[in-house]
Amino acid sequence: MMNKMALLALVALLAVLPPVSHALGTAGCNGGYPDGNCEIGESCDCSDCWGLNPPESGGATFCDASKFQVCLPEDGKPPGDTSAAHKCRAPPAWYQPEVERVAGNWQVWGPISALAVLIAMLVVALAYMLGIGFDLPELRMWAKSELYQALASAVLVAGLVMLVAVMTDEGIAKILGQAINPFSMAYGYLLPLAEQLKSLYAWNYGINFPVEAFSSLDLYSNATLTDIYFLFFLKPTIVEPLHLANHYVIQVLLTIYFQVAILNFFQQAALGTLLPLGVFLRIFPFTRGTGGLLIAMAIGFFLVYPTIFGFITLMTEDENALRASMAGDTSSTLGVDVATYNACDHNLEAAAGEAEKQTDPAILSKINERYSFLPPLILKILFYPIVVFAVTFTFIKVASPLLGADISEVGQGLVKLL
Amino acid sequence: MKWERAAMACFLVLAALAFSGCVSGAGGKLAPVQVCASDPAAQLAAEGHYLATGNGSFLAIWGAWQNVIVTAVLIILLVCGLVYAISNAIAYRNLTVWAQSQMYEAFATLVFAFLIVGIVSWMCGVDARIVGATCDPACGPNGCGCSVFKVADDYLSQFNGEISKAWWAVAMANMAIAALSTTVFSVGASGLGTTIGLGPGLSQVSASMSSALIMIGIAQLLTIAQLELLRLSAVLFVYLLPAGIVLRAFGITRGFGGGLIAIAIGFYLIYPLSIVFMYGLVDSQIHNQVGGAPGGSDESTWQQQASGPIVGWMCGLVGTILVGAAVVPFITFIIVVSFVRGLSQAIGEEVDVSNLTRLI
Repeated sequence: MMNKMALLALVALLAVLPPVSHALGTAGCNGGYPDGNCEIGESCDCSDCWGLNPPESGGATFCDASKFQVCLPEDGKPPGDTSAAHKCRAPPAWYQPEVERVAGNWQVWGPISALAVLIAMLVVALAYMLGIGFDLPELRMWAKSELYQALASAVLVAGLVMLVAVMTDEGIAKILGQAINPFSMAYGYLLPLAEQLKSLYAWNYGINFPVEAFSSLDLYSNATLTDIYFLFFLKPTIVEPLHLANHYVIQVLLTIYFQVAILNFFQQAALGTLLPLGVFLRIFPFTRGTGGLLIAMAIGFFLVYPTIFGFITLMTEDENALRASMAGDTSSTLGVDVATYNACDHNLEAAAGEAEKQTDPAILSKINERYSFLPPLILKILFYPIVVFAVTFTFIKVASPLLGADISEVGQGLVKLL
Repeated sequence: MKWERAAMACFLVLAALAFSGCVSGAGGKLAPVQVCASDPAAQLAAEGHYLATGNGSFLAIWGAWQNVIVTAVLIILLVCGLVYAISNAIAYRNLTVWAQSQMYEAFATLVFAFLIVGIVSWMCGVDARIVGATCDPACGPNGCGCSVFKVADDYLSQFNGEISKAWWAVAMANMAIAALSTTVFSVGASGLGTTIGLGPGLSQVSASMSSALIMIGIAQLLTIAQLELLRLSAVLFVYLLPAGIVLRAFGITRGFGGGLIAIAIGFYLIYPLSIVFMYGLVDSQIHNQVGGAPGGSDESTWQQQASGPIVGWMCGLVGTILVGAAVVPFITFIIVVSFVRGLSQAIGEEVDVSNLTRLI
């Protein structure tokens, strides 16, 4: 008995401690301190007065310095509005727009799901009555098990609605920290690569454009019925390798943007569409498998898929070094300087001779160097994302049976597709 | 106790009939259930639409099938009743149990049939806008109102239209670039001279855009295939559901009938539902990207565009289109297959999904 009372007292103390400590801490947080009033441009030394950490600087308050706050105008006012009262508060979190959108969807789906749970219970009750009426023990057993499933669905609906509420209340920021944005990590892996490739494409294009123009220079004579392209050797030596390089660049760029589009789609669809739809479908026995699968997909593609990109970023080589090496080389223009061709002087023989010199093996090897980075890049764009997909599908495959779905055969189809 | 059971059975049949929207017609025949055309004006406007009236529509065929289903069930009940009576008379316990279970199954089939039609009727009346779908309820080529079926058709048609716009945007840009790539400067007299191409460097961009056009064309093919599948599933539903119900009424073909019912419902109800939820997002994304198409009135502008921005725009556009044309259908396919598998397990024989996935 005493043990139970002690336990209860402990739980009550733990429940009361944060608000009390917060209130105590807040009382002292004034003027440029967390949760206190501030002026525009004034810093907020530490973010939250939980009474857990000593003050960061000077103040007599106990603040958690790890929680960053900035001086922002009151709600509904734009930043920099001098007429509005300013207060130290946490900046809008990365997930805020997403959470608001998801919360908006749940305002529709929450009542629908609750209604569906009630309907499911009604059907179960009816089935139970029929089971008794027709003396069908199997139907009665089924009704009982379905009642448990309906209750589980109710718990799931309530739990997910609460999850959204917790996220809206910055719970995720408190758990993960605001700097962690899985989708930023994924975009941060793909988009810099796209930018590098676009600059490489532009560079190749810039080099190729005048060279290809010169390669089309010809001398024709109607009297002898001849048409000589005397700079045509530029085509196989410079123009075609650069075309080939840009062809690969386009292919890789396309793959990158395809993955960016997939990320973008799931960023918008996972919590806002797949999750509520999955919860709704999971309520009914015939659609339980589909619902469970959709829930697993929503979690997998919103959390696992982008997060694994972050881990992949840590595994791969330094992006900045690759970018620097490419940027540093662009000024050399491969050693092909079209100004030295002197083609405009109509000294065609000299131009041809100069061009021959410009396409010596050293220059060709430089061209090869220009796209020798493509194989590792293809590794980054094709192989690693396949690993990310594999991990995500593994998660979905493992999580979906827990939620009532069995996708072993569908999963095999996915693997075959990959 | 027996009277109670009989009363309950009658109540269930009546409830199922009422739920399915069936009414008693002249001569004791059941009037056909109206699917997605409850409003006479809407029905008139949707005349010829695959969900409404006309030859081969659900409305036309279901009336005839209802009679077949009821007749089949009655025959089974009659035969099983006879068997039950004989088995009781000869005190053959196993036969009695068999006849009993067959009667229950036949009865369950009847109830199930009307419940399915009830759900279809209900879905036709549900306004998809309550779950966030954007839809114009005015009558159009795909019918009137904002039922899930109409919104699904609208969304896919809209996506198809956006792909067409994207194709034209890329084709026009390609046309301009390809034309500029053939610009030639020529100097000469009396049959002797020299020429130089001013824009052959643009040919690589043009080649890339040609490849993009092929991919956009494939994406459009896939989207049109989906549209056709959506319309075909309505036609299939008309035949598969009644056939499935009749086959499910008989013991030997019960598993097969259940599988047919599951396929019919999966493609007719779940497939459009999943399209409604998925394509709303894709349509808005692609619409924004098509709007950002490059352009220019002189060669220098096109050259600047060709050196990078046009490539980024084109790849981004094709990437988004491919997500809508390949990834999203894949998800909808998984949803439908998963549902069909679950339902077929419950009411009949499990559809062999592994064979379906081998198609992939």
